[in-house]
Amino acid sequence: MPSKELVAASTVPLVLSVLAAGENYGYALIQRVRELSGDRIQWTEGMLYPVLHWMEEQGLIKSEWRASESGRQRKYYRLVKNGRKALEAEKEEWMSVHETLAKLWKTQTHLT
Amino acid sequence: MENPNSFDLNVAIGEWHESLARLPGFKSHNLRELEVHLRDSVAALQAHNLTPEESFMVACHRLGTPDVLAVEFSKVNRNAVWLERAMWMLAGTQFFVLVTGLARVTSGLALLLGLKVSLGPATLAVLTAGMYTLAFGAVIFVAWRLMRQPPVNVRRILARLFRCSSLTATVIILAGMLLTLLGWLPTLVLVYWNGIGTLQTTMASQRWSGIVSIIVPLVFVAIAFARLAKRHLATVER
Repeated sequence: MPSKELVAASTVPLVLSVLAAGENYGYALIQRVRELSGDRIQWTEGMLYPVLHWMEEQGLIKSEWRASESGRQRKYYRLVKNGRKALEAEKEEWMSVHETLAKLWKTQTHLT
Repeated sequence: MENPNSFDLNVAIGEWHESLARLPGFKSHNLRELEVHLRDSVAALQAHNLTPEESFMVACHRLGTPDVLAVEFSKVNRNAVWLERAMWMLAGTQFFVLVTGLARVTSGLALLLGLKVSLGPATLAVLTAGMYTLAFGAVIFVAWRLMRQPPVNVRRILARLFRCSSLTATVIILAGMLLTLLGWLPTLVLVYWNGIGTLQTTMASQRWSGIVSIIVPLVFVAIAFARLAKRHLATVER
Protein backbone atom coordinates (compact mmCIF):
# COMPACT_ATOMS: atom_id res chain seq x y z
CA MET A 1 0.00 0.00 0.00
CA PRO A 2 1.46 3.43 -0.89
CA SER A 3 1.81 5.85 2.03
CA LYS A 4 -0.80 8.55 2.66
CA GLU A 5 1.65 11.21 1.49
CA LEU A 6 2.36 9.42 -1.78
CA VAL A 7 -1.34 8.86 -2.41
CA ALA A 8 -1.99 12.56 -1.81
CA ALA A 9 0.88 13.62 -4.08
CA SER A 10 -0.28 11.35 -6.87
CA THR A 11 -3.93 12.46 -6.83
CA VAL A 12 -3.60 15.27 -9.39
CA PRO A 13 -1.57 13.25 -11.95
CA LEU A 14 -3.92 10.30 -11.50
CA VAL A 15 -7.02 12.43 -12.05
CA LEU A 16 -5.45 14.15 -15.06
CA SER A 17 -4.45 10.78 -16.54
CA VAL A 18 -7.89 9.21 -16.08
CA LEU A 19 -9.57 12.28 -17.58
CA ALA A 20 -7.13 12.24 -20.51
CA ALA A 21 -8.93 9.06 -21.59
CA GLY A 22 -12.29 10.86 -21.59
CA GLU A 23 -14.69 12.76 -19.36
CA ASN A 24 -15.86 11.13 -16.17
CA TYR A 25 -17.63 11.74 -12.85
CA GLY A 26 -16.21 11.47 -9.34
CA TYR A 27 -17.45 8.03 -8.35
CA ALA A 28 -16.36 6.40 -11.63
CA LEU A 29 -12.99 8.15 -11.42
CA ILE A 30 -12.33 6.63 -8.00
CA GLN A 31 -13.40 3.18 -9.19
CA ARG A 32 -11.11 3.45 -12.20
CA VAL A 33 -8.07 4.31 -10.05
CA ARG A 34 -8.92 1.56 -7.58
CA GLU A 35 -9.26 -0.95 -10.40
CA LEU A 36 -6.01 0.13 -12.16
CA SER A 37 -4.02 0.05 -8.92
CA GLY A 38 -5.37 -3.37 -7.98
CA ASP A 39 -7.05 -1.87 -4.88
CA ARG A 40 -3.72 -0.51 -3.64
CA ILE A 41 -4.67 3.14 -4.08
CA GLN A 42 -7.75 3.83 -2.00
CA TRP A 43 -8.75 7.43 -1.50
CA THR A 44 -11.04 8.64 1.24
CA GLU A 45 -13.65 9.12 -1.44
CA GLY A 46 -15.06 12.46 -0.35
CA MET A 47 -11.55 13.98 -0.38
CA LEU A 48 -11.39 13.74 -4.16
CA TYR A 49 -14.01 16.45 -4.67
CA PRO A 50 -12.11 19.35 -3.06
CA VAL A 51 -9.15 18.33 -5.27
CA LEU A 52 -11.39 18.31 -8.37
CA HIS A 53 -12.75 21.75 -7.44
CA TRP A 54 -9.23 23.07 -6.88
CA MET A 55 -8.18 21.68 -10.28
CA GLU A 56 -11.17 23.39 -11.86
CA GLU A 57 -10.20 26.68 -10.19
CA GLN A 58 -6.70 26.28 -11.62
CA GLY A 59 -8.21 25.88 -15.09
CA LEU A 60 -7.02 22.29 -15.55
CA ILE A 61 -10.46 20.73 -15.88
CA LYS A 62 -14.06 21.79 -16.50
CA SER A 63 -17.25 20.39 -15.04
CA GLU A 64 -20.85 20.15 -16.10
CA TRP A 65 -23.99 18.72 -14.47
CA ARG A 66 -25.70 16.30 -16.84
CA ALA A 67 -28.10 13.40 -16.68
CA SER A 68 -26.32 10.05 -16.97
CA GLU A 69 -27.67 7.04 -18.88
CA SER A 70 -29.44 5.91 -15.69
CA GLY A 71 -31.18 9.29 -15.58
CA ARG A 72 -29.33 10.41 -12.43
CA GLN A 73 -27.84 13.91 -12.57
CA ARG A 74 -24.06 13.76 -12.28
CA LYS A 75 -21.23 16.24 -12.46
CA TYR A 76 -18.92 15.28 -15.28
CA TYR A 77 -15.33 16.48 -15.42
CA ARG A 78 -13.24 16.84 -18.56
CA LEU A 79 -9.69 17.84 -19.27
CA VAL A 80 -8.99 21.20 -20.93
CA LYS A 81 -5.91 22.55 -22.70
CA ASN A 82 -4.11 23.66 -19.51
CA GLY A 83 -4.87 20.28 -17.99
CA ARG A 84 -3.17 18.51 -20.89
CA LYS A 85 -0.10 20.71 -20.44
CA ALA A 86 -0.12 20.02 -16.70
CA LEU A 87 -0.38 16.30 -17.42
CA GLU A 88 2.71 16.47 -19.66
CA ALA A 89 4.62 18.29 -16.92
CA GLU A 90 3.49 15.75 -14.32
CA LYS A 91 4.52 12.87 -16.60
CA GLU A 92 8.02 14.32 -16.95
CA GLU A 93 8.39 14.79 -13.19
CA TRP A 94 7.12 11.35 -12.22
CA MET A 95 9.11 9.65 -14.98
CA SER A 96 12.31 11.36 -13.88
CA VAL A 97 11.76 10.16 -10.31
CA HIS A 98 10.86 6.71 -11.58
CA GLU A 99 13.93 6.50 -13.86
CA THR A 100 16.28 7.68 -11.11
CA LEU A 101 14.92 5.15 -8.66
CA ALA A 102 14.97 2.39 -11.29
CA LYS A 103 18.63 3.12 -12.07
CA LEU A 104 19.54 3.18 -8.39
CA TRP A 105 17.79 -0.06 -7.63
CA LYS A 106 19.24 -1.73 -10.75
CA THR A 107 22.77 -0.77 -9.65
CA GLN A 108 22.07 -2.01 -6.16
CA THR A 109 20.72 -5.31 -7.54
CA HIS A 110 23.99 -5.77 -9.47
CA LEU A 111 25.98 -5.04 -6.30
CA THR A 112 24.11 -7.58 -4.17
CA MET B 1 -47.53 -4.35 10.27
CA GLU B 2 -44.62 -2.09 9.47
CA ASN B 3 -41.48 -2.64 11.48
CA PRO B 4 -40.75 0.60 13.39
CA ASN B 5 -37.02 -0.16 13.23
CA SER B 6 -37.01 -0.68 9.46
CA PHE B 7 -34.29 1.29 7.75
CA ASP B 8 -35.34 3.94 5.24
CA LEU B 9 -32.44 4.71 2.93
CA ASN B 10 -33.85 8.03 1.71
CA VAL B 11 -34.44 9.24 5.27
CA ALA B 12 -30.91 8.18 6.26
CA ILE B 13 -29.42 9.99 3.25
CA GLY B 14 -31.56 13.06 4.03
CA GLU B 15 -30.30 13.12 7.63
CA TRP B 16 -26.72 12.61 6.47
CA HIS B 17 -27.18 15.53 4.02
CA GLU B 18 -28.55 17.75 6.80
CA SER B 19 -25.68 16.86 9.13
CA LEU B 20 -23.23 18.02 6.45
CA ALA B 21 -25.27 21.15 5.66
CA ARG B 22 -24.96 22.22 9.30
CA LEU B 23 -21.17 22.33 9.00
CA PRO B 24 -19.36 25.28 7.48
CA GLY B 25 -17.34 24.80 4.33
CA PHE B 26 -19.87 23.24 1.98
CA LYS B 27 -21.71 24.93 -0.85
CA SER B 28 -25.05 23.45 -1.89
CA HIS B 29 -23.63 21.99 -5.12
CA ASN B 30 -20.84 20.29 -3.10
CA LEU B 31 -23.48 18.54 -1.01
CA ARG B 32 -25.43 17.58 -4.11
CA GLU B 33 -22.34 16.03 -5.67
CA LEU B 34 -21.46 14.15 -2.48
CA GLU B 35 -25.02 12.84 -2.26
CA VAL B 36 -24.89 11.56 -5.84
CA HIS B 37 -21.61 9.83 -4.97
CA LEU B 38 -23.13 8.31 -1.82
CA ARG B 39 -26.12 7.00 -3.78
CA ASP B 40 -23.82 5.50 -6.45
CA SER B 41 -21.73 3.87 -3.77
CA VAL B 42 -24.79 2.49 -1.93
CA ALA B 43 -26.20 1.07 -5.19
CA ALA B 44 -22.87 -0.65 -5.97
CA LEU B 45 -22.67 -2.16 -2.49
CA GLN B 46 -26.27 -3.36 -2.63
CA ALA B 47 -25.41 -5.10 -5.89
CA HIS B 48 -22.87 -7.06 -3.79
CA ASN B 49 -25.73 -8.34 -1.59
CA LEU B 50 -25.32 -5.90 1.28
CA THR B 51 -28.50 -4.70 2.98
CA PRO B 52 -29.48 -1.05 2.44
CA GLU B 53 -28.40 -0.23 6.00
CA GLU B 54 -25.03 -1.95 5.64
CA SER B 55 -24.47 -0.36 2.24
CA PHE B 56 -25.28 3.07 3.65
CA MET B 57 -22.88 2.64 6.56
CA VAL B 58 -20.02 1.37 4.39
CA ALA B 59 -20.60 4.09 1.78
CA CYS B 60 -20.58 6.81 4.48
CA HIS B 61 -17.38 5.38 5.93
CA ARG B 62 -15.71 5.36 2.51
CA LEU B 63 -16.80 8.90 1.80
CA GLY B 64 -15.17 10.20 5.01
CA THR B 65 -16.39 11.67 8.27
CA PRO B 66 -18.36 14.95 8.03
CA ASP B 67 -15.79 16.86 10.10
CA VAL B 68 -12.86 15.81 7.92
CA LEU B 69 -14.83 16.54 4.73
CA ALA B 70 -15.82 19.97 6.06
CA VAL B 71 -12.17 20.84 6.72
CA GLU B 72 -11.13 19.81 3.20
CA PHE B 73 -14.03 21.61 1.49
CA SER B 74 -13.34 24.73 3.61
CA LYS B 75 -9.94 24.95 1.94
CA VAL B 76 -11.45 25.30 -1.53
CA ASN B 77 -14.47 27.35 -0.41
CA ARG B 78 -12.42 29.76 1.72
CA ASN B 79 -14.28 32.92 0.62
CA ALA B 80 -17.68 31.37 1.20
CA VAL B 81 -16.59 30.18 4.65
CA TRP B 82 -15.38 33.67 5.66
CA LEU B 83 -18.54 35.22 4.30
CA GLU B 84 -20.60 32.82 6.39
CA ARG B 85 -18.50 33.54 9.50
CA ALA B 86 -18.98 37.29 8.96
CA MET B 87 -22.69 36.66 8.51
CA TRP B 88 -22.85 34.76 11.81
CA MET B 89 -21.02 37.57 13.61
CA LEU B 90 -23.37 40.13 12.11
CA ALA B 91 -26.36 37.95 12.94
CA GLY B 92 -25.06 37.62 16.53
CA THR B 93 -24.72 41.37 17.09
CA GLN B 94 -28.02 42.09 15.39
CA PHE B 95 -29.74 39.36 17.39
CA PHE B 96 -28.48 41.12 20.48
CA VAL B 97 -29.91 44.44 19.25
CA LEU B 98 -33.15 42.62 18.52
CA VAL B 99 -33.38 41.10 22.00
CA THR B 100 -32.55 44.34 23.81
CA GLY B 101 -35.06 46.14 21.58
CA LEU B 102 -37.74 43.62 22.46
CA ALA B 103 -36.95 43.90 26.18
CA ARG B 104 -37.09 47.72 25.94
CA VAL B 105 -40.50 47.57 24.24
CA THR B 106 -41.82 45.25 26.98
CA SER B 107 -40.43 47.47 29.73
CA GLY B 108 -41.90 50.55 27.99
CA LEU B 109 -45.32 48.91 27.78
CA ALA B 110 -45.11 48.03 31.48
CA LEU B 111 -44.31 51.67 32.21
CA LEU B 112 -47.32 52.80 30.19
CA LEU B 113 -49.61 50.42 32.04
CA GLY B 114 -48.10 51.42 35.38
CA LEU B 115 -48.71 55.08 34.71
CA LYS B 116 -52.22 54.30 33.53
CA VAL B 117 -53.03 52.68 36.90
CA SER B 118 -51.12 55.48 38.73
CA LEU B 119 -48.34 53.41 40.31
CA GLY B 120 -45.74 55.21 42.44
CA PRO B 121 -42.22 55.95 41.11
CA ALA B 122 -40.56 53.17 43.16
CA THR B 123 -43.07 50.53 42.03
CA LEU B 124 -42.74 51.75 38.45
CA ALA B 125 -38.95 51.44 38.62
CA VAL B 126 -39.17 47.86 39.94
CA LEU B 127 -41.85 46.98 37.37
CA THR B 128 -39.95 48.31 34.35
CA ALA B 129 -36.61 46.81 35.46
CA GLY B 130 -38.32 43.48 36.19
CA MET B 131 -40.13 43.40 32.86
CA TYR B 132 -36.89 44.20 31.04
CA THR B 133 -35.07 41.32 32.75
CA LEU B 134 -37.99 38.97 32.24
CA ALA B 135 -38.38 39.73 28.51
CA PHE B 136 -34.63 39.55 27.92
CA GLY B 137 -34.33 36.24 29.78
CA ALA B 138 -37.40 34.74 28.09
CA VAL B 139 -36.18 35.52 24.55
CA ILE B 140 -32.67 34.23 25.28
CA PHE B 141 -34.11 31.06 26.88
CA VAL B 142 -36.43 30.34 23.93
CA ALA B 143 -33.64 31.02 21.40
CA TRP B 144 -31.23 28.82 23.37
CA ARG B 145 -33.76 25.95 23.50
CA LEU B 146 -34.49 26.28 19.79
CA MET B 147 -30.83 26.24 18.83
CA ARG B 148 -29.93 23.42 21.22
CA GLN B 149 -32.65 20.97 20.29
CA PRO B 150 -34.44 22.42 17.31
CA PRO B 151 -37.64 20.65 16.27
CA VAL B 152 -37.39 19.24 12.73
CA ASN B 153 -39.43 22.09 11.21
CA VAL B 154 -37.38 24.79 12.92
CA ARG B 155 -34.19 22.99 11.85
CA ARG B 156 -35.38 23.02 8.24
CA ILE B 157 -36.27 26.71 8.41
CA LEU B 158 -32.90 27.56 9.99
CA ALA B 159 -31.04 25.51 7.36
CA ARG B 160 -32.93 27.31 4.61
CA LEU B 161 -32.32 30.71 6.20
CA PHE B 162 -28.61 30.14 6.52
CA ARG B 163 -28.39 28.96 2.95
CA CYS B 164 -29.48 32.44 1.80
CA SER B 165 -27.25 34.23 4.30
CA SER B 166 -27.51 37.75 2.86
CA LEU B 167 -31.32 37.69 2.98
CA THR B 168 -31.27 36.46 6.58
CA ALA B 169 -28.75 39.15 7.57
CA THR B 170 -30.94 41.82 5.97
CA VAL B 171 -34.05 40.55 7.76
CA ILE B 172 -32.25 40.48 11.15
CA ILE B 173 -30.87 44.01 10.64
CA LEU B 174 -34.31 45.35 9.66
CA ALA B 175 -36.00 43.60 12.58
CA GLY B 176 -33.37 45.03 14.97
CA MET B 177 -33.89 48.56 13.61
CA LEU B 178 -37.65 48.21 13.82
CA LEU B 179 -37.52 47.07 17.44
CA THR B 180 -35.11 49.88 18.36
CA LEU B 181 -37.64 52.34 16.93
CA LEU B 182 -40.48 50.55 18.71
CA GLY B 183 -38.52 50.90 21.97
CA TRP B 184 -39.15 54.65 21.75
CA LEU B 185 -42.83 54.23 21.00
CA PRO B 186 -44.14 53.95 24.61
CA THR B 187 -42.31 57.20 25.55
CA LEU B 188 -43.76 58.94 22.49
CA VAL B 189 -47.24 57.65 23.39
CA LEU B 190 -46.77 59.00 26.93
CA VAL B 191 -45.76 62.42 25.69
CA TYR B 192 -48.72 62.38 23.31
CA TRP B 193 -51.12 61.44 26.13
CA ASN B 194 -49.84 63.59 28.97
CA GLY B 195 -47.64 66.25 27.38
CA ILE B 196 -43.90 66.84 27.54
CA GLY B 197 -44.03 67.32 31.33
CA THR B 198 -44.43 63.58 31.90
CA LEU B 199 -41.01 62.95 30.36
CA GLN B 200 -39.29 63.83 33.65
CA THR B 201 -41.37 61.31 35.63
CA THR B 202 -40.81 58.70 32.90
CA MET B 203 -37.06 59.27 32.86
CA ALA B 204 -36.90 58.93 36.67
CA SER B 205 -38.88 55.66 36.56
CA GLN B 206 -36.77 54.34 33.76
CA ARG B 207 -33.48 55.03 35.56
CA TRP B 208 -33.52 51.56 37.13
CA SER B 209 -34.55 49.79 33.98
CA GLY B 210 -31.76 51.74 32.25
CA ILE B 211 -29.20 50.32 34.69
CA VAL B 212 -30.73 46.85 34.34
CA SER B 213 -30.59 47.17 30.54
CA ILE B 214 -26.81 47.54 30.85
CA ILE B 215 -26.22 44.89 33.50
CA VAL B 216 -28.45 42.11 32.09
CA PRO B 217 -26.86 42.01 28.60
CA LEU B 218 -23.39 42.21 30.20
CA VAL B 219 -24.16 39.23 32.43
CA PHE B 220 -25.51 37.37 29.41
CA VAL B 221 -22.39 38.13 27.32
CA ALA B 222 -20.15 37.05 30.22
CA ILE B 223 -22.02 33.73 30.61
CA ALA B 224 -22.00 33.08 26.85
CA PHE B 225 -18.29 33.94 26.66
CA ALA B 226 -17.45 31.65 29.59
CA ARG B 227 -19.39 28.76 28.05
CA LEU B 228 -17.72 29.24 24.65
CA ALA B 229 -14.28 29.44 26.26
CA LYS B 230 -15.00 26.25 28.24
CA ARG B 231 -16.09 24.45 25.09
CA HIS B 232 -13.05 25.71 23.17
CA LEU B 233 -10.70 24.53 25.93
CA ALA B 234 -12.38 21.10 25.98
CA THR B 235 -11.89 20.82 22.17
CA VAL B 236 -8.23 21.86 22.45
CA GLU B 237 -7.62 19.31 25.23
CA ARG B 238 -9.25 16.59 23.12
